[in-house]
Amino acid sequence: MHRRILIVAGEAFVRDVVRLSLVGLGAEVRCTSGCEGMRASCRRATFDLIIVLQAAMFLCGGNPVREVRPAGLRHPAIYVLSWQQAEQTVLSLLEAGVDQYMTFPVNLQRLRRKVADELDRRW
Amino acid sequence: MVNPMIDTLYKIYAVLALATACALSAGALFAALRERRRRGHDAMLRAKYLHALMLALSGGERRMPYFPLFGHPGTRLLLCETIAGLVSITYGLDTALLRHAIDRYGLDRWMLRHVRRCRGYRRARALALLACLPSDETMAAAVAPYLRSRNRYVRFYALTVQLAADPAHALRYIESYDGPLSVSEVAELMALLRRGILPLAYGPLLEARSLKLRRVGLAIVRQFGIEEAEGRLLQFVADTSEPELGREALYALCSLRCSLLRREVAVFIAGMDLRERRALLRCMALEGYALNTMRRLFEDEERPYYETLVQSYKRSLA
Amino acid sequence: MKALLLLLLCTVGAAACFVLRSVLRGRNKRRLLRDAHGIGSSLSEEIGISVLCSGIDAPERIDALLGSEYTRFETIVVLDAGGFPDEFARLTARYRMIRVEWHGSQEFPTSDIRTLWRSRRRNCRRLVLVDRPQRADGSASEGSVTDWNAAASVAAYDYLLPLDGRTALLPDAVMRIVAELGEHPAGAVDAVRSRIGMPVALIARDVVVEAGGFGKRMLRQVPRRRRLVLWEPLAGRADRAEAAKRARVAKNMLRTAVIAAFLATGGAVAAGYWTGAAVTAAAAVVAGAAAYGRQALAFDESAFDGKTLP
Repeated sequence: MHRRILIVAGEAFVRDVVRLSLVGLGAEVRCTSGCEGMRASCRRATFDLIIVLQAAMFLCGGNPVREVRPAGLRHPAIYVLSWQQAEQTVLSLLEAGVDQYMTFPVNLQRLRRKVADELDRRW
Repeated sequence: MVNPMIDTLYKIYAVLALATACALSAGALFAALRERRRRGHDAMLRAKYLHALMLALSGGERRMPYFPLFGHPGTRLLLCETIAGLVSITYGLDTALLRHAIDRYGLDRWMLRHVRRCRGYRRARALALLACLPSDETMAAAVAPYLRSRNRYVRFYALTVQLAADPAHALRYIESYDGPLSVSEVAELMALLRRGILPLAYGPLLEARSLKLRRVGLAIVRQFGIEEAEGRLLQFVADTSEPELGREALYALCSLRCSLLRREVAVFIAGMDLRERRALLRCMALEGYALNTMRRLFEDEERPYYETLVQSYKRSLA
Repeated sequence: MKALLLLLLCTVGAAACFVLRSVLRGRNKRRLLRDAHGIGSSLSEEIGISVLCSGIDAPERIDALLGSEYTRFETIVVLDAGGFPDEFARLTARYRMIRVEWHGSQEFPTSDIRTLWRSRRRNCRRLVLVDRPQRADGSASEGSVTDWNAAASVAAYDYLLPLDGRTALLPDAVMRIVAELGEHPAGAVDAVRSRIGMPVALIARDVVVEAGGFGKRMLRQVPRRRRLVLWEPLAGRADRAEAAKRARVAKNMLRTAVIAAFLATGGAVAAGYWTGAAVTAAAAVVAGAAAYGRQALAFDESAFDGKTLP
């Protein structure tokens, strides 16, 4: 078995930056754009970590966390990175089941360390 | 006598209009081809440049990354956009390596020439890209002429280039900036601050004599929720010489959810017109201030307005 | 007579070039602001926008509106729970809405709000649902106006953006409007409108209050110096299939018009009929400018291909 990470982002450039910063962690990194893509990817494979690069997905009516996580489990872990600083947004995301919220601009080494720790914790 | 002249004018008009129409059609065709290239070739090349940069950055090597097709038309701008894009969404990158790449390929000098060639918002965008390229103090002097531009975006992004190139003198640059800073511009300065470029502390900014610096300080207080600045905010509210700064300070107090039951606040609110008072009441309702606070700050006639607003956040038990 | 016609042709050519220049400037500004990250994250503290929705009950559209990355923003949906009980129930269940207290507004003359609903979920707190009975006798536009008035009476922010069922905001429209407002001192702008795409206008709440609610020619009440005009699209057609079809037709028509105008000008010049040549050349300028403008705006269109528009 090997570790898998899914990156969800609408913007290709940011997605590539995060994907390339995670190279060498011994995990398979897949990318998709949008909520639909995330759902489809999660149906096809099991991920250890999902990194979403936009907060908007969690601020509308749906509950993407519940859709990708089997009931009662805290797996896969979900990290969100976005430009939003507002306290209400952060609380909304945490309430929706997001495990980590980070704001842009992001320190790539720090992100990489966090992801590595997360994967180690789960394996 | 008139007719031959009119006929000549018609001829001139027809020729000029035809030439303009040809130019516009060629422009449309060129724009279509450029858009196609942007989506295909440029996107692919940008991904390759980013890959090369990220590999070099993660490897910690000082070896210059290889950028395929570099030197071909448009590739310099593409590499500048890639580096600027990477720098703008991250902090703590190895700027020495980026600086090395920029020096090696002469990107900053090329970008300065590009800035000179562009006009209007394209020049502002070129300056915004330049502000993200790691550079030294000489760049601050090189963009100084653009601080006098008629386009406020050009002026502002020239300032950001100066701030990024020579952060040690950030206060001086902001203070000498021509004209007031708009809300959008202060927000952009906050983005620079979060990237760790500006060595600004809120204390000296709030104490500064310059209104621009005070506004930046106020934005920092609001952005990072610095409750320790409450006393200084109250002083701004009490200072009648700068009513706009007082208004901003009052909203900052609101967003920090500080107690508004202060004499300074009451005096300031009494001087506001009905429109501003209602806007403040709506803001207070959103921030969750109690009816009791409102009663002591506003007059009795305004109570029903605020009560309706507050009630609309309460569950109906009927 | 001929001199007047020449003057008219000059005016037409100059106007086409002016509009094209404005569109290109708008495109460049949008491109610049798309990378300005501070506006979305830090400006959120300053400028608040309430989107007032009439005739919008599809959850996908409401989701798309709520998905805005801008924080000081709310969506107020007006729906008749009596006339559309299934749609209303679907929305209240989807967003876990609860009924809240409502005692009427002092600012707007709307007494027909039946109930007011807010979400109990924090991530949907930017949604407000207004239950307002719809009258069968009024026209569709009158219905929209009364819906917007009802929504305005519960709005929390200083700027109102009315939307009807046919119109959908482009994904970055809110950010673009906010950036434009942020350029000016607080309270200096009363209206922002776009001259391209589906008509949509942002109006200061106080202007609507002073006018006694929304009405026809609302923007005319705003002095010119307090009005901002954008030469870029802020909204499109909600029906994307229809919009794509119309765009294809317009593109083909423009192409045909450019070719026809060139051919006609050539023919007129060959025949020595210079008045006709000037007229057709002016038509070629207009068609060429329109084709160039369309191509410039394609940069924006490509950003939301295949997405549900808010």
